[in-house]
Amino acid sequence: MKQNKSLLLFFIFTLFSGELYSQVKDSYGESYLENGVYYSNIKLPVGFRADQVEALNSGLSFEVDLRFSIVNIKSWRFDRTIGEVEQKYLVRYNAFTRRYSVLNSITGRELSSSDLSDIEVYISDVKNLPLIDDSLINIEENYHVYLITYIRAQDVPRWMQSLTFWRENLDTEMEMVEWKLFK
Amino acid sequence: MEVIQIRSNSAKKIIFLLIILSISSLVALMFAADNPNEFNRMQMPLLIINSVSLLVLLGVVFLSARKILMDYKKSKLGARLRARMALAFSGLSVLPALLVFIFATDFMNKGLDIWFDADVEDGLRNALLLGRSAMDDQEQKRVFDTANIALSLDGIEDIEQQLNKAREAISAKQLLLLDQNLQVIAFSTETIVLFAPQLPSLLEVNIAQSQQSWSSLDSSESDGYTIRVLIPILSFASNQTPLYLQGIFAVDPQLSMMADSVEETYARYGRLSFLKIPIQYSYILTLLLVVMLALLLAIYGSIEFADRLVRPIESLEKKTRSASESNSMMHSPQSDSDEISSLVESFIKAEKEAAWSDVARRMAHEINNPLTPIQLSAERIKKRYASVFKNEDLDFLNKSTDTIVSQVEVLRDMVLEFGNFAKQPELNFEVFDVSKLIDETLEFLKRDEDPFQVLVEHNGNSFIEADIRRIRQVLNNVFTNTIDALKSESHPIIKIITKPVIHQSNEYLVLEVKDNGHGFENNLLDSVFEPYITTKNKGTGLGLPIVKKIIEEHKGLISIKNNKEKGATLNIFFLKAQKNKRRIT
Repeated sequence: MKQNKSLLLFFIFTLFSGELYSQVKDSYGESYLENGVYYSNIKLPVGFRADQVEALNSGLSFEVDLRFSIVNIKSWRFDRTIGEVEQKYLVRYNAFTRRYSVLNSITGRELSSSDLSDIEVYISDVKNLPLIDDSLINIEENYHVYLITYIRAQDVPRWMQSLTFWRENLDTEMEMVEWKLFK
Repeated sequence: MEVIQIRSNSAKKIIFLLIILSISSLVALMFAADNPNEFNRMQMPLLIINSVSLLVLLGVVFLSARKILMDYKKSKLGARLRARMALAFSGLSVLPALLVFIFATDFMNKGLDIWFDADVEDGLRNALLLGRSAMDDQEQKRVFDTANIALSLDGIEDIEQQLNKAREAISAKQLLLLDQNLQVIAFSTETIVLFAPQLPSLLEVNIAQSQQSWSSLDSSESDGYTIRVLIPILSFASNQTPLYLQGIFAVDPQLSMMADSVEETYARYGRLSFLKIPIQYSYILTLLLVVMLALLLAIYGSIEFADRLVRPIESLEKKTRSASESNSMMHSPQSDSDEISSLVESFIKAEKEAAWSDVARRMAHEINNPLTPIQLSAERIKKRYASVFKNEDLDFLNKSTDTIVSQVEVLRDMVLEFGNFAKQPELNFEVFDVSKLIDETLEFLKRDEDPFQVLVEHNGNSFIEADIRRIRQVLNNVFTNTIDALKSESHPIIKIITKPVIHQSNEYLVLEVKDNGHGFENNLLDSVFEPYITTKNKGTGLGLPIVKKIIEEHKGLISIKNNKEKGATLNIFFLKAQKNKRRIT
């Protein structure tokens, strides 16, 4: 009995550590200071699931929401969020052109491709994103950047999602990515 | 017996509020359904309100049903009737609600199936293909234009000028010259652009390389539909590494608009088609919620209704059972105004009067029998010992025997009144002028030493059809009572008014007797017409009950009330004689 328990714990540990390892391996974020502003380069494993691709091809659009939080990490007190940045993309499929398009809702830049993986690559690779002004940062303290990515189906009303709660949700919340603002 | 355990007023108010809220939210939901955005916004809060109401009602109905069942099992009074009624009324509402739900669901599903009919989908797809083919011609033309430009470029010198000239010649939005690493060598644009132009992907470059051209229809939020063309240029490239010319062309605005419309419709159809099952489930769940709510409201209403209906009957049974043990018959059941309550009240009243008549008859009989021997004995004693006793003893004898005889007379009067109350005399109806009878009665009762001021006012015709002897008895009793009530007053006034009125389509003659005496205590007002209720020291408490009995025997009405200022007013409604019978007798 005791042996079985140990095996189960080992199995769970292996399973989770493997999962964590793949997340760590796939996601990456770093920040750098330039001209008084902290910028970030991020690599994310943004990918649509099969049912999401089906929904996309059916005419539903998806919002990919990247939420960055810059948090002052305190040793003995509560951590304090000192800034938040959001990057939003709207992904849709045009049946007429047979191309997927991605629109950066913040900047207005738009890109299209006949291959969805191009769009995924574009979203996954965020470069030189301005995060926070240096004047807000105390170099003596410890700051972390947290990134949570949401993929949400548009055009599906919330009430409909609530009323069909037992069905698989088209929305995804990706594993949080964390890195130090500076070394 | 209480049906629903939650009986407090606050709980009832909450239930009532929830019902109102639910009905309002259902109405709001109905109106919001006309506007999808409004519907999306309101759906959740409204569903929450309705769900809460549903749960509360479910709880209340469950408790009520459980109580009914338990009472039924314990064979409690009225439980069987209540259970049957609640079941019958609920059953009447359940069946239609279920039918409505089944048919509405079926119609809704069929309606949705019609929306997503395969023919509609094919039609839309064909419209899309048709639109595409219209665009294909334009696309081919732009490939040809761009290829010609690529051929006409004669070197890297002045390339931007060449591109500008070529762009204007073929009405392109943009022309880009790229090297094999997709770095921009030269660039010509119709308008100033905010972002760097979209570069071709490696796949697109490879296709262009292998097929000598690549083209695609593209769309963007800002530019609408555009055609992109990529042509490899080998003519002036160094080391045989190709350069690429990318041209971006606007699509004819009208075509672009039509394409947009077709695409938007197709996408909307696709979205709905994809969400068909969730839409179906959502609508069915909403409908189910509405039907359940309506059903529970109906069941709750049925239980309440059955309860209200059974309560007076139950009360009657209870009171009938306890009548022999207590005086609860003196009090009426709950004073609801429905027919069953009135029926029960009338029944109790009739029983009550019958009981009193029976008591009065027995009393009259039992008291009357020994009165004559008592009186005779007293008179014999007086006669025998009048010659024996002298002086003080004789006075004592005379006083005592006189007292016995006078008290026997009082008792006999009382017996007479009991008898009058108990008996059901045959009425001898005749038409007469009641105002004359009033005047005669007043004249008869008037004594010179009385300080009363009597004001009489007769209005209109005052002929009634009644038993004149009984009405005289009524007037005697009423006026005597009024005079008695004024004995302690320093300025007693009696106002007597007769006037014709129409009440509930009947013609009446109203006799209003108003005094400025002490009136009635409020707690006595409701029972002044009940036997043995009196404020007088020597009253039998039968005067007004006899008056009421006689008036009711004549299909009349009687009421009494305290005046605002002082005293009381008695109103008697006599049915007026029919016109053809009105003559002086």
